[in-house]
Amino acid sequence: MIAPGELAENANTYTPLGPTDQRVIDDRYVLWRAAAISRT
Amino acid sequence: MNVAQRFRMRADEVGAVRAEIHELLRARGRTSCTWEVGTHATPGNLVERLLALGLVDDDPFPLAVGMVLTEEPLAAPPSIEVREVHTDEERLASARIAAVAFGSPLPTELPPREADGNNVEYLALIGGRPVARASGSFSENGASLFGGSTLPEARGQGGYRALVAARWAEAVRRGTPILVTQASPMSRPILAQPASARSARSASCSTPSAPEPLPPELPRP
Repeated sequence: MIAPGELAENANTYTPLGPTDQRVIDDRYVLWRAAAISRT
Repeated sequence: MNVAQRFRMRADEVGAVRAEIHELLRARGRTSCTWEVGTHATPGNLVERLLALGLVDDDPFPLAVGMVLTEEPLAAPPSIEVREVHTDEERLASARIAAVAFGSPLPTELPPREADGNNVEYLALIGGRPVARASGSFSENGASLFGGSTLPEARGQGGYRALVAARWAEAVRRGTPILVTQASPMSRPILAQPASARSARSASCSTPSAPEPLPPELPRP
């Protein structure tokens, strides 16, 4: 279970990926790429 | 849409990380990226360092507030209908509301999309007319709220509040009664109503949007 504060600060790091979404996880950053404009 | 966040780096790594993320974006033909620098990001002056490297403050809201709600939010006005988005017509209506709210070009059609039970779009309707939309991303950690947007002429009538209530109800139904979001100044007062709402600040800046995929990095002198 992720702490709610961490989840709020970095929501895109933990949200489930959609069918066309991608997430790059690095020790220094997380990059979330999505096709849908509506998830911003 | 691209979002970079959860930065944990040394001060001498900032330039390299910026270049690395831009390379990842270029590889996908992407033209812009939002950089969300949270309270716990390192180094501590990361926003200033990114701005010095050419990023720009997000317009009009360079500061978002990450909020956590663990109690039932305000009830929706009974006159507002909220429904999940399923049909192509509903998807287009949702996308057009988002485009108006975020200042993007109005879409006239959308590519097909697979149904995704964990990422759900909602429409709020007043008198049968779609006036607001939002997304909910549901996981074992709770529900993340994204993309809440209301047509300018319909603001102040409870559309956003109804969309929050709908996502809360779904989070409760799934056994994870927690809502989290990055709140703008418009949504913050609504979300802050429950006594349990907690918050953390997050600065936001962007790689400037370019008409073509991001150009190659210039060689360093």
